[in-house]
Amino acid sequence: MKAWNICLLLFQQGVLLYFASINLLYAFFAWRGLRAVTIYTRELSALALKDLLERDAYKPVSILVPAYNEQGSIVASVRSFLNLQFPQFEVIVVSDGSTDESVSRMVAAFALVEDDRLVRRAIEHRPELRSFRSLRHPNLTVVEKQNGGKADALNCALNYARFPIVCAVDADSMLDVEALLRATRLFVQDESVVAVGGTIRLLNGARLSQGRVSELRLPSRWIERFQVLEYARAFFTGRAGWSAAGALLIISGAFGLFRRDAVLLVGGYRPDTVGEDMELVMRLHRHFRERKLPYRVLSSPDPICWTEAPADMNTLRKQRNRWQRGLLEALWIHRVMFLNPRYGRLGMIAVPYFWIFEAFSPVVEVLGYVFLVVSFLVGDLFPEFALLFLLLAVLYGMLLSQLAAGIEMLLLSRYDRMRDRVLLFATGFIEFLGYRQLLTWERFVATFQVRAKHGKWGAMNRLGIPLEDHGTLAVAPPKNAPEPAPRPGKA
Amino acid sequence: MWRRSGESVFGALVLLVLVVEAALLAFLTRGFALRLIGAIPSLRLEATVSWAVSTTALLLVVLVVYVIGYHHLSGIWQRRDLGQLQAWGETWVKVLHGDAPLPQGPLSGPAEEALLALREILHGDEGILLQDMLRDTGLAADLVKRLTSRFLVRRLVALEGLARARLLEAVDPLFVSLDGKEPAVRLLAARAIARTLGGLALGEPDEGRTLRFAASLRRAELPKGVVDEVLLLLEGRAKHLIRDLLRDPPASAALRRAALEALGRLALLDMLPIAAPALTDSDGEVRAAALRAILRIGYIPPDLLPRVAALLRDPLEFVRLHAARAINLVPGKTALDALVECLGDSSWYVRRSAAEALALRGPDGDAVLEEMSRTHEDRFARDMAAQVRADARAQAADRLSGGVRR
Repeated sequence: MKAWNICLLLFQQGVLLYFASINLLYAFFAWRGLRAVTIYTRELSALALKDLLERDAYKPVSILVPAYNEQGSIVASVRSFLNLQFPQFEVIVVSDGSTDESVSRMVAAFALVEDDRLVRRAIEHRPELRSFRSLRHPNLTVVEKQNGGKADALNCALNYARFPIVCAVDADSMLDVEALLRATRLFVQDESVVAVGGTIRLLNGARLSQGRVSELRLPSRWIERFQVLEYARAFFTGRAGWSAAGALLIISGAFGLFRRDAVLLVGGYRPDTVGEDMELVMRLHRHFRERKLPYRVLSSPDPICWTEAPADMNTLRKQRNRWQRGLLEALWIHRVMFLNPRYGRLGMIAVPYFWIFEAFSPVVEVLGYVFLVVSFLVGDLFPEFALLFLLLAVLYGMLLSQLAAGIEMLLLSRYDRMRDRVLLFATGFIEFLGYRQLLTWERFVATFQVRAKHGKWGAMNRLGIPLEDHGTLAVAPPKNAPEPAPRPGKA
Repeated sequence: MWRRSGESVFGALVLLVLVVEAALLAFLTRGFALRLIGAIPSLRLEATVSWAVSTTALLLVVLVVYVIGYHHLSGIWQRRDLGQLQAWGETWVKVLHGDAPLPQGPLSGPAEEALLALREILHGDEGILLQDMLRDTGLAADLVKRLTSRFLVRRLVALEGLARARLLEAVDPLFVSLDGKEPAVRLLAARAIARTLGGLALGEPDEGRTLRFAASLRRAELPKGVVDEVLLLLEGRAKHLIRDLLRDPPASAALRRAALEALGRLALLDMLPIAAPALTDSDGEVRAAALRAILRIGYIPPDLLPRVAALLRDPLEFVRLHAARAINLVPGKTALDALVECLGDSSWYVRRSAAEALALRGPDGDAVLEEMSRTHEDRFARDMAAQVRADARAQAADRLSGGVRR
């Protein structure tokens, strides 16, 4: 055999092992995740929740809502938060230097008046401009501050928070009515729990009634359907599995609950990274592990947060670019954990996994395509073999998607129409016909932009949360919302 | 919310996928390695990959057929069960009132569910009748029998059923589950025992079982929050357990705190003397829990007052914070002076707590706050007094304007 052929075979072997390992790991996580769901549904039954509520056994929660130019969805979001079924909570909205009508719309909708509350500045952040309290909702506080980024806004909200549990949510999200009850239950049950991540599902395509998701339908655009599968894979297999293994590194910034004292202890959110959610979780891990203190970071399959996914390719590309940079930034900040036995399974398994199979996966995938083209050009590509190999990779991917979609069907609130179920299956195949490659390319590019685009989020176009039944959209956002200011500091 | 059926079969299917795919991967790796050393021709490798593709495709088909089949059937089952549940609910009510004969077991799922749901909401004489119905239909014995099933889901379902049934004869088998290895089983067993014992009429003899429960709780290593919950579920019968957990030899700090939390939440005034030693406990969290218990009950016995006052100078911030709140229960100038002192504490939270306590004392407290906002030697104390006064006024204005309060 020629040396080139040996290289080709070795490369194929490597690629096969790489992708098969990811898929096997996720299949394993799906299996572990299912077991967790089985136990969870019995442990946290309606009966248990009723018992707890009747006996006032809960912990009050501060909901932190950082917002930047969210005029299209902020009123509907805040209203949905205020309608949550939970005995004691407060909502703290921080407008992070918004240049649109976010604040004025909230002032009108919630009868806000200026307030000069004295707050303990436990964490530093950009200065506040004004703070408001609501005449209608005593548990609503709105703070307007100079632009400093999402993490800075969350730090400001943390200072205002009064309750022992804080729940960070995105301003374009909605929580299930029982979400807080179910998520805080884990803190009540086990005092060593410092953070809980919920499951994120897509609002796109959902029918709303009285601020709740009344019917779930697959969105009309393929780009949104692909994301339905991506979220299912991420939350029903990935995070459930890592959580069951006690090595969860990511809690989504769209919906995460933390013990406030623990977050303050580690210094709050780090404002100089776009991966502030993952970075905080990794810092919490390090803090407790380095001091050999008991702690747990969990992902729970049931408390559900509904969020709006990008509906156009441009916004989606920006989002994935940011996610990739955030991942790399967080991993780089905590590079000391890599293969470090001091951090147990986090250092020896989870962190290496995220470096190899998440951070570098776009590089491996793009190299694979390059290798394919080069082989074709030098005339060493056997089309039948290449096709079979490609088919195997696609089938592996589809298998994984169906495992995740299979877990989703166990939810009471699922894609109930048979048409949607069949479409979901087709989506698993069609996403390989260009969508995956485009996003892989964006992530590949982002890998080399970590320094150049340090701290930059990129403007996001949102359709806004549907206010009423049958998808009536809220006020459309400005087409060209200005970019948030870059964050100060360096990684 | 999750459906409570189908996950076991799907789990088995996922396991099958996992095992087959792992075997395929091993097979493919071997094929590539053999090809690399020239031991097999490329056609043979191609055949191996083809075989892997076919097997994966077959697995995918099986998975999709299951998912779509389950999706279709579970929808039908859900609608059917809802109808049956309603019908069975009506049947059980008729049986309860003597208008229909008792159906004989084994009962269907909806029949079980309807009977247990009825038992959950009905107490007193009707509850006793329902317990008899549970026994006579064989459901009670069946639930107890399921506790020994080798399938975890079956055991968990049985434990939840027994928590709703609240049958005294099930308590002893539940103790066996409480000593089990699986944490979820221990948790549900503890809940079921607590609900059963807590539901007994206070005159019924139960001390033996309650003390056995205390011993089991010490062994079971349940998280503190679960013990909290169990003690609250026991309600009036929690006294024996609380006494046991706080007496010598003391239980772990977590269990002592749980006992104190329950003592406060259940407002067991007569048990406050038992909590007294906890005010000088070496664990700060236990001291704070004792103060919270006092605060919840809303009364400081005179003999405990010096100990509570001493905690205003505790080295731990959160203990001082609770002490400031607790001292507010004492009428008169002594408490006012103590709170004024706390207003100058180095901790923001203690200052806030002291100021809020003063604001709660009505005109007297407000006058002190007003004075302190001008004259306190510490600038932070002055600011806090002014802020809390302003907050109190704003809240009063909210109330007057009929604002919606949570």
